[in-house]
Amino acid sequence: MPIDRRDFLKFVLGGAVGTVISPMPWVSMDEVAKWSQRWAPIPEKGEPGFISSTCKLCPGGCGIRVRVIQKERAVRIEGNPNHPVNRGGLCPIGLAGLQYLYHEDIRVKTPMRRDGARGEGKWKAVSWDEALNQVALKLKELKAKNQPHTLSFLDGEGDGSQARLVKRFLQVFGSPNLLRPFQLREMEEVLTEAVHGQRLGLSYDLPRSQYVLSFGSALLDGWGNPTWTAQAYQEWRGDSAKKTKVVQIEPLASTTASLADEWVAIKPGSEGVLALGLAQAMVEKEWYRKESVQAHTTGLADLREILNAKYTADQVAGETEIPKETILRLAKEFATAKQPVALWGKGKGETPLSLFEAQAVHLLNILVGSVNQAGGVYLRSERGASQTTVKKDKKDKKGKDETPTETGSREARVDEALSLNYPLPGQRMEAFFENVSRNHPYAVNVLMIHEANPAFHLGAKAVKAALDQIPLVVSFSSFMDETTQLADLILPVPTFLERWDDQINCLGVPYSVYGLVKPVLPPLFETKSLGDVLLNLARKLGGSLQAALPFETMEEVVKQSAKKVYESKKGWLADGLIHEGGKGASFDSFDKFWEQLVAKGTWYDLENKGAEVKEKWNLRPATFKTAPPKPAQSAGERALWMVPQSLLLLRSDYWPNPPFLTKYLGEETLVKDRLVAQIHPKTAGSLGVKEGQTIEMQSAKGKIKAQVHLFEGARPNCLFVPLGMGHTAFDSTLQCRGDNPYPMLDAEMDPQTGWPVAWATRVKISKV
Amino acid sequence: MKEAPLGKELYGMAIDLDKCTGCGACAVACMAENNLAYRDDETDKLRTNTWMKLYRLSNGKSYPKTKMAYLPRPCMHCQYHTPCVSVCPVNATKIDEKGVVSQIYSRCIGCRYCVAACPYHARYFHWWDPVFPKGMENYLNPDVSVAMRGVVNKCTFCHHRYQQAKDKAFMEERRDLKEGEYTTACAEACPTKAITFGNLQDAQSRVVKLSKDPRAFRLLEKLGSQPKVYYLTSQDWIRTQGDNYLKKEDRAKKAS
Repeated sequence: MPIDRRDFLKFVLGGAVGTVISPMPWVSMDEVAKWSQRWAPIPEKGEPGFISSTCKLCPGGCGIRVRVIQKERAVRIEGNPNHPVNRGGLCPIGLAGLQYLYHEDIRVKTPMRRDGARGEGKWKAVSWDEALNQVALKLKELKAKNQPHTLSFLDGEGDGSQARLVKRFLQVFGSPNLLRPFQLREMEEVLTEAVHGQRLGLSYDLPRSQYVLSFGSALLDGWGNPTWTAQAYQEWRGDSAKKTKVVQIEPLASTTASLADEWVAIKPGSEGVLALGLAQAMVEKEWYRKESVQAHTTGLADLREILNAKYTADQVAGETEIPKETILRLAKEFATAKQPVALWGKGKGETPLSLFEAQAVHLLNILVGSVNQAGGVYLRSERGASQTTVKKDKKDKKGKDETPTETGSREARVDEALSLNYPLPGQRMEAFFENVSRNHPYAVNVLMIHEANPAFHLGAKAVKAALDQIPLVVSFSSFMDETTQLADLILPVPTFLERWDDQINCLGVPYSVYGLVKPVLPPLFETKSLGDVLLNLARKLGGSLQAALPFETMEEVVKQSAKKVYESKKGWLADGLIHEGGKGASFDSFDKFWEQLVAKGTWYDLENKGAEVKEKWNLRPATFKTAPPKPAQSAGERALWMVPQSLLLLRSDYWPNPPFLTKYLGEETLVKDRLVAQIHPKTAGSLGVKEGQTIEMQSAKGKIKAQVHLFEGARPNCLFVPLGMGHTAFDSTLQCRGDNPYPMLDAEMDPQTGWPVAWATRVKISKV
Repeated sequence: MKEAPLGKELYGMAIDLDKCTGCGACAVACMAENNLAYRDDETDKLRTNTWMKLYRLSNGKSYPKTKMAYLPRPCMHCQYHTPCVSVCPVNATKIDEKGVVSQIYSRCIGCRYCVAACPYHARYFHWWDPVFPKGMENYLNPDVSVAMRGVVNKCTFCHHRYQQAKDKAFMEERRDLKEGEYTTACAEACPTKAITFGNLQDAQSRVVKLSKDPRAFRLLEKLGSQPKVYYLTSQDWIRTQGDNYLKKEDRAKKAS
């Protein structure tokens, strides 16, 4: 059969069409694509080893052991079993710590200078010499112009040698403007000054408490040191005969409320009033511990008068929407319990609360005699808490004629803290940014920021407005966070796994712990620790600064702090058994002590507890004469309460949430890129919104979008939103996911402290 | 399928839900130990890979009587007629004489029969390549291989740690492991010590004592697959949810 041209073309065309229609080319392309892609990575093997250090991801100061392969690759962080606080346990944040170290996408790898407008995101890498010279030049200029007070420093790090070095640097340089993001520690100082006449810290002997009354503290969601509260929870739920009762006062069936023995559902914002209601019952019915109260306090008669006038059980029941019987029962239970303790600080304690509330709850502890008692709350002076300080002895000072507080620090603070207007608070970060934006009371020339992200917490707009007034903004950050994006100069610092530092005492723990932080690995990138940079600047500036900070490296500073610990001749190093008491380990010399401390990572003394206060404690009834600050009550239009929620698996402070934690956020927190608001089904019904629907919440200060999640454990007429989402910086697990509720929290200033009290906020909602 | 013969070792776990605070330390420790990857969006819980899953339970009552609880769920390592092992066509998953249900990635053909067979949703399939963003490969544990795309993976009771413990015992001229020498990453990390891991054949071990506690129960016990993870709770509503009872079923009859 002859094949003509037409047949040939038919065959070729038919074959081509057939091949294209058949799956063959697509399957083979798919296979090629798969095989040409990478396979799963194969981790390199090597000799494993463990290095003991201390976690610096929160001020909790847990002991950690880092598993390192071939001395160059950290592969696991676990709790140090010999550490007296965490005893081998560790919170999920600490366990995910390596995700901070190795996350190249969010880490700043070299010093960078802004290239282009502020916040534009254009950067130019510069050498360390160049960067440090620029800062030194600017500081010299301030000195020469006699304006050292126009240097400000915002430092969010927990207590340690590096944080104290910052304090000393500023003091000697001559600036009073040291700022911190709010921490409970700040309120503790204000509270103890008001009541006990001294600025002290508080710590809670939680594991031994037998009745815990928590006024909204997210005990199991990150309040205080999470591992310490977990240790306490283990004790409370342990097999021993003593039975601890935990009562959580909160408007949502949160983790803590659910796992407590009793959940007291309260109207948001009335916690302080409830505490006074309990106090009134205890005083009126004479349930309080008379010997203790008479021995230690003054002002009881006045207090009784105010309580009886304004805070009787009937009045409080109306205000808090808690039945009168419950109030009386709680008061009786708390007053008659063994080793009771009452806790304040809502959520994780990262947002300010009113002195009214803190003092009302502390009053309960005083009335039941729990102050400086086992299972109660201990007053702790900084000196009693530790013997360490970076201050060199007098003989080390060279320039004798130059006293540290020579100039500048007599100037008022920009934030007006510690002034006649606001004598109580040590600092006011929010007021600082407000005042800077209108150059009041004087212009700030340099702002340095370390471990703080005000652009996230106060809102990028407000912070940008303030930074626009400051000629030089220097960010010491390991990560490209929202605030760092607005800086002029980034001096990248290493993470806690790559530098020398220490943690002086563990947040909220009633005994002395000194945790050494040492480099587990050499720095991965071109970073220098904040301490090393400050020492370098001190050398460059010379004079009194160099004399006051005569150290070469941060390691020397830490060694100096460790020497003070050694000289106390008390305590133990974390090796094997945890020693509850005894005379302590003895060493032939400091060098031997240092060698052992570096190896073991932690020193502790469990006997050192409360600080004695000689004067009588003033119950200061005056605080309770005025009503607590309340958010604007424009109820008509904004009929709903938006109540923020703290979650352990969602960091809401300076640190970005590690991806491992974000992975575990549930449908009540985040759905795709939407924040979730929990709402009671009945409230949702009356508002006409359904599960999964997107709504917009508007407060007096701003608005956010969220997706509705019906939850039967939410208080009606309230919306519960988690704090910590809505970053515009960091990697794709965090960037542009959900909205950030922080800037829209409607704050009312507490007239006594000058802090903006923002928790429950009035909102109105609209469907989107 | 034959039942595996029992030796001196049979590993199991007890999780005390009265002590569990749902903090997630076990989950993070597990992901770090076993080289699990993460993706940008992990909110679709049908697609996320969590060997240690954290269930959030609710008693279903309305405000203010609502109570939540957490239930961490590793692989149950079912001892009798292990559902996943019995359906695997290629011997990629086996139960060994210590009672550990293993998963051998290089044998797995990705058919996902086992995923369907598992009553506990404890098995995960890698639909995508495990991606570690730049730098993150550095923290991978050298003792565990990363599951590639196209294979099923699951909790192994940190089996590699058994090997390490055995090696150590061998160097010290011992045949048997002491209690606590072999433990999983989750049990080790738990800050409230809610998770106990140990040898169910050793009458003295803590896990045996806990498994005989009156508060103990197992998930979906009625399937008869003999899961080796015991839960303890003093709250009846949690136990009821864990057993997955139908309303018409009589709990008392089942107990007898």
